[in-house]
Amino acid sequence: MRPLLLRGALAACAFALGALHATPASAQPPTTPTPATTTPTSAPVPTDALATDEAPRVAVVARFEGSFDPAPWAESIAARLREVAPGRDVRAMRAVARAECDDVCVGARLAEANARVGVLLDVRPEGPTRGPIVPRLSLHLVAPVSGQALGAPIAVTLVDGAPTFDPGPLVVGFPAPPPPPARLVIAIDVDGATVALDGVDLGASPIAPVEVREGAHELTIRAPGHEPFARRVEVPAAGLRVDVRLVPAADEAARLAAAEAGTTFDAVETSDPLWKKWWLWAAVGGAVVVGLVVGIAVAASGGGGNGNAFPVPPIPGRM
Amino acid sequence: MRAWFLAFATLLTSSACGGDGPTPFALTVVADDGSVAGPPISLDAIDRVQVVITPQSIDGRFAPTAERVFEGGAATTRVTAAGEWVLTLERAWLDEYTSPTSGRSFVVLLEREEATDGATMDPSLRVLFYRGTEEVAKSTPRFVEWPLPEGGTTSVTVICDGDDASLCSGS
Repeated sequence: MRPLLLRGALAACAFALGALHATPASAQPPTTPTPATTTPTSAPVPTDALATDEAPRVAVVARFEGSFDPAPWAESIAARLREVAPGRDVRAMRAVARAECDDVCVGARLAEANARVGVLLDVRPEGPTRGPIVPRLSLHLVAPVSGQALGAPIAVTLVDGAPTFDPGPLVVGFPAPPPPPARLVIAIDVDGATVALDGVDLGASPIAPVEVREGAHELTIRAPGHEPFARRVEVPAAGLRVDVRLVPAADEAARLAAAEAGTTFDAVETSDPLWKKWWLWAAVGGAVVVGLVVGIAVAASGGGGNGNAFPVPPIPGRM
Repeated sequence: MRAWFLAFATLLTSSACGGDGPTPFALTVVADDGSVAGPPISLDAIDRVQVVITPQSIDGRFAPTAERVFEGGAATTRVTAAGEWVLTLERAWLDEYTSPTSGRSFVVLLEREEATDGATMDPSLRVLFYRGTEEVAKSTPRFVEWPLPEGGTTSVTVICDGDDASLCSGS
């Protein structure tokens, strides 16, 4: 019963927080004043605003038998791959899969690391059991999750103790990183305008920046009382900001002119600001009560400091 | 005005909800229904569960600590002489936290006790099921990201050790 109570209380808190931040469109800040033009103007968007986490990642996972520690070799191979495959996010995973971890297991490890493609470093002892053991190293390109081999194994030789291999097949096997998406900022001087890009509805203005592929796109904007807007915009890799000032339709222009002349007045309805909504204060009050209940319940549980979470001590490691 | 209000309300709600605390690592333990290997496991027949984290040899072992008791004795943690961290979940804990819908899984929340960690490689994790003092089912050892990532999740499937259907079902 207590877990259900706690989960319900936490869900209520999450709802309350979500309600706070689910700002309605009418409460969003107005668009920046725009130049009086009907043609889009552009300004580059800082490149650091672009999302770059879509690049494929490559992980080197070592599998070994016996007492070998191939972690340094995995790092060495990862460093080599960074040299020959620039632009790829290559990482040597800290974990080392033991011999009993098959290719599928390694694939799962790659998936956990959010890697798209991985290199399995297979290290097995070779030669007599007595005397120096010569490790046999080979590289297998495997896909995450499925563990599917993506090519023939690549032999690795040790030169002065350092793994040496032909990175060509591995580089070919890596997917080229896709171009980062370009950010398109569409600022319109009219709220509630319907915005579409390449025929896809983006919603009503004001709209959040959208990430698009670099190149040409068809931007269309419609708003009641205004002339439709349609332009072809060329989005560079660095991103683009488009400021649009919609032109009032002929009858709308006449109505505005009449209003300015003082001959007519429109009734203006202003909705109450968010902080005057009764339901918001009810949600905040409910969240406070729920928070107190949760706090008391957690304190009474005597658990691991976070509900029923158990504290796990650190591994000191060897000094 | 609106911004101040939102900031105040967010702070108030976050404080009430304990929003500043770290999100624990969620380990989902699933008892095999027979679809993976061996006979199906009935959690009703399991008396005790152990979650064991074993550092890799290169990283040594967990520091010895005294046994800690949670939930009125329904769960305990300790470090073995071999340097493994062991979380033991008793029948009472299972009764409380086993998923009522599937009846075959439960979630164990773990959180880092300290921000710093000396491990250089990920330790392995395994889950063991006991009937009385007899181990009847276990998971394949797997490496777990270390230090445990806040908000991270992983899932392990526990498989019955033998071919005897009564071993893990109790009937």
